[in-house]
Amino acid sequence: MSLVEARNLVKRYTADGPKAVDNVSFEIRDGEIFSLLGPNGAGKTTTISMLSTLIRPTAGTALVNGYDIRTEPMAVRRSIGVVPQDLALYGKLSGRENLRFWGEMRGLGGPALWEEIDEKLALMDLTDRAGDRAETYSGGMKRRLNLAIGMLGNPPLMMLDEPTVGIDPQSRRHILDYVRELNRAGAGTLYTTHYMEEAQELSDRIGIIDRGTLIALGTLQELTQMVGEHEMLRLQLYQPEAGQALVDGVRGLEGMHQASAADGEVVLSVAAVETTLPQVLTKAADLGLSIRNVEIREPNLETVFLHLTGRALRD
Amino acid sequence: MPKVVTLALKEVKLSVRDVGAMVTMLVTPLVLTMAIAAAFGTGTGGLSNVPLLVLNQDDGQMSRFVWEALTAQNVEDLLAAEMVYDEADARARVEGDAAAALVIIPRGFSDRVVPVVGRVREVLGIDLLSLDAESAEALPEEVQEEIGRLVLESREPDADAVVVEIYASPNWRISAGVVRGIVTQVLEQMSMTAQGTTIIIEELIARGAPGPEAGEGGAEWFPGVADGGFESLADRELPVRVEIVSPTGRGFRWLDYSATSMAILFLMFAVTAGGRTLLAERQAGTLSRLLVSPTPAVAILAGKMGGIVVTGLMQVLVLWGATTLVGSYWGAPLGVVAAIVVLVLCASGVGALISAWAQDVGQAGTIGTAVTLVGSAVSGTFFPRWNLPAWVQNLSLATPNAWGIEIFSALQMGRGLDGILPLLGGALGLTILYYVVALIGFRRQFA
Amino acid sequence: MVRNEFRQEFVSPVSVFFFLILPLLFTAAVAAGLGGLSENGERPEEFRAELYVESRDEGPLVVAFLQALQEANLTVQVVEALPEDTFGLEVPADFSARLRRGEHVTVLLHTLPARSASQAVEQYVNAAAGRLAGAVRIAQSGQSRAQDAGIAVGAEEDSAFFDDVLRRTLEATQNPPAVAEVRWPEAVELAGTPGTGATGVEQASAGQMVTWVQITLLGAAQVLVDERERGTLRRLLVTPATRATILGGKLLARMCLGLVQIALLLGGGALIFGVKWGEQPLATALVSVAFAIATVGLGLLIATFVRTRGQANSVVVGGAMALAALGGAWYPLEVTPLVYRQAVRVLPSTWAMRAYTDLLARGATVADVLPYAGILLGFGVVFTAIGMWRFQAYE
Repeated sequence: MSLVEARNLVKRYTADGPKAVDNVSFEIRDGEIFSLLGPNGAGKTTTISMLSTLIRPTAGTALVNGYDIRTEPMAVRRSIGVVPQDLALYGKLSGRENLRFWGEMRGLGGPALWEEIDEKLALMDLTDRAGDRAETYSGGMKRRLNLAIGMLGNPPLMMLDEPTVGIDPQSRRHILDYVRELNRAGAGTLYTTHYMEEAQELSDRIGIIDRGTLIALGTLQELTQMVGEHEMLRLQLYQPEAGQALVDGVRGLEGMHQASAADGEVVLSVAAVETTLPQVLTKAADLGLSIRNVEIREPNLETVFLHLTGRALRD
Repeated sequence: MPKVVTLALKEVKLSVRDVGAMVTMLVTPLVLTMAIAAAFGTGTGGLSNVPLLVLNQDDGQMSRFVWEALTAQNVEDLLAAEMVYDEADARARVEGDAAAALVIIPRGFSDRVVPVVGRVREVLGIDLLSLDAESAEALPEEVQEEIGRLVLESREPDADAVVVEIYASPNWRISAGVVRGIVTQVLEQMSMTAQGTTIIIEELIARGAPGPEAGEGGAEWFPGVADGGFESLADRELPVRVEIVSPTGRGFRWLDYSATSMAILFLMFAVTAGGRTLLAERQAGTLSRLLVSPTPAVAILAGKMGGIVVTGLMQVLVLWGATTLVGSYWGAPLGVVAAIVVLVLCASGVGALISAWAQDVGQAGTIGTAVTLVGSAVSGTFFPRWNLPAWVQNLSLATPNAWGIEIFSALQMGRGLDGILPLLGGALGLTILYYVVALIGFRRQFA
Repeated sequence: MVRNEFRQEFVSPVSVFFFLILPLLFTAAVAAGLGGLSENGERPEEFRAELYVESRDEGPLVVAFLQALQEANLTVQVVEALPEDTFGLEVPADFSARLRRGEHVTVLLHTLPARSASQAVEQYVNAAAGRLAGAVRIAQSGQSRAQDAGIAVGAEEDSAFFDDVLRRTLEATQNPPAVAEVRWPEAVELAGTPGTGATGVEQASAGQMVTWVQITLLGAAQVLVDERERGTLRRLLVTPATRATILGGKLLARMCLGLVQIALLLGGGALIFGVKWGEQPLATALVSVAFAIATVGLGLLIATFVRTRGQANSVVVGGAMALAALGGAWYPLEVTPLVYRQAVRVLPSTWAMRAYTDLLARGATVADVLPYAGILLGFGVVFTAIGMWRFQAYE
């Protein structure tokens, strides 16, 4: 059985507005980590909000743990643990009180809940500060508490909406480890991120979402194969503003598949680096541009995204 | 534990741990009530120990009645009168605000108020006021006749009035008014006694009593009248007594009025701030998290409002207890409890209403403060509400403040729970109205 | 920096509402509540109140009593039964008979304790009763003298002699030989008049101005937490300006804001309510600046204690209200006990209220308000010094 079966999900926030999510279908299998990867505003949070029954889809539906999100929202909510992007905590309550409150909101209680709270606090390295108000915690501690709350009751499906936004590398490392551990304990996971590395590192399968549409779906290997033999070239210019000019200049070159410029970087997807790179360098020289750095990469999710959309992921 | 209770408890915990909220909810109203208790005491309030100077320039005997009136037992607490002798210095003290007012009894005061006393002294060298009936009868016949003639002659109904000046500091206007009232009354009694004496003689002559010209005396009744009449000024035991009956059996007390009206004002601050937290939770993301927990939206809303209501109840109960300790009286306990419950519900409706229709926390804060303050102004939180124009009184019934003041006033007037039921019904009606409109707003927001 | 603060304050009509409209609304409400804004602008002295009288007795003494009540500024309505929620007077059936027999009578005045008119009504009824009683006493005395002298004046119960003396004595009160008059030290025309205790509009205008301006000025307490929560305090602290300069700029801005508000509220009070602000512009300005310095200094002191915006907000609003109430901005200090009047001298608001009411009530000149301004400046220096000292350790 699949944990999530999303069927043609559509969301419009206003009746005649644009589709924030357009006909998205995917499946999350038992025990797998499924990542939704896409730039900001791609529709990741909207999708997770529909699946967690926070908002109703305009069209389409999904089964979560076998329950329909439209008709059985309560059963869905009992099946999921959500870790929102915001730090949804009460600063004036202690870490322990936060866990207790949210646990009770999940319908937990009694000694089982106390035990679990202790266990989660230990897992998240928060035991020492459990009695302090959450508003006194560091950013990383708050993130960990945020995650611990979502894990309460060990639900079969965890939904994590960009849980690593805006924290230090160490805390991020911790969180990724916890997610994997959680997964090993048997929970299926829906993980959204705009960090390619996270998706690459964590996921069993990845859905790439852009402008509300799921444009690719598969394992890391399947996705990179889509790019075929293409390799990725990343160039940094001393004249960051001239990136688009270089892109326009190299577009027609032989073996050039995709070209895009952003943040003073030019990203190219080419069939063969050894033949195309000299031509690109010549073109740059022609345009009077000097190149600071060139990076050659094996195909990865970023290449895939560039390949599919013609834009770099960080756009 | 039912989730609604968990939610409500969380709400209470959050408010109690918010220092700013506690200052608004409890500290400020308590300080203000204490200030009012200190200012007005537990009595009916008003003036006390008004520093008053009295300068007597009169050389007659009547001025002592003014002094006696200003130092009588019934104004002992009200006035602190001091006899002074240097006019320039006394005026300077009033100007320097060291005294509230200076009463100046002018030269010739006695002669103008009771002219006959001066005339008799002048013509016959006799002090009329010291005569009683017996000593008067002992006077020679012709002296008695002369006195009678002088009494009739020395009426000067058309002469200018002599002015007792009350030189007052503008910072003591109320006191000045009170002093004027006391002085006016004693002057009136004095002149009535003097003029009444003449009137009696005239009326007696008109009814056949022998006049002074008849050579049959008359002094045997005159001094007695004067004596009796002026004596009454000092003891002021007048035959008509006014007894004040108030519907409460107890007078109006500022402390009672403001303790309750302030409690409602600060309750309003608290509940509008509480309602605001719903929007704050939406902004912080905790509302979304609540909504994806297996808890119905209605329970979340009910828990939230329940928490606000419980916090409000705790707030008003604490204020009730604390202000009672400094001597304020809210009413019969059962009625007070019912009133508090209804009023907290009603006020929470305003909080719900604002949070249901405001766009964000900032807007809700502004609207909440504005509604609270305007509501308190138009309903009469800082002064007796019945002094406002009738249309303002009616209009203000759209606020919990006005209902609160009406209900607590009724309780303080001695009504019990049964006596305030109609008022409680009115407040509940308003509460329902608030919540209906709030629900419409919530549906719109969360549809 | 000053300009920056101003811009932040006047960003929306909302600020204007709190800054100007709400204080004026309170002034109107409080003035009306204190009885100073009557609809036809009558002076409190001429204030007439309605009194219902229920009397089982219709004799000449009751008629005389009613007459005395009318003359004491009461509009008398004789009724069968007293209506509820009105001022009512209950005259016993044996009123005339007892007075004629030389006995005492008691009339019951049903008052409405919470109405400000109640004070006036009680005063009026007492005055009328006193006048009647005085005349009755004369008439009784005359009656007994006449009997002693053996002159036929009729029986006690219906003595025409009694009635005539009473009537003429009461008539004589129309031309009193002596009157009491209140006079004021300066030749400044007063908006209010003593008598009923209403000082209405003036008290409200000065009191509400002090209350609301204090909220603005004490708002200085918020600048530090504001900047801290925005994270800009740190940036300000590392700019080459000294801490004193930073603070100076912010406090100066607050002060100017308060002064603008004072000017607007005084203008509003003068235009809308006819309060005579502006007779002594220089003295008013002096008092206002001193008041602003003292209160902003207090704001700074508070700023070094509060940790969050919410705390600052609560303390500022609560503190401003408490200071105002204690300092005589809500009710004149003359109604408070001696100890209270002396105790509140430690508050700047007390001196500000005194200075403002002096300006209004007696047209105080610059020389007159100098002591007040000096005291307020003293408060300002002390508060600012302690505040600065604490700010050195603020982070």
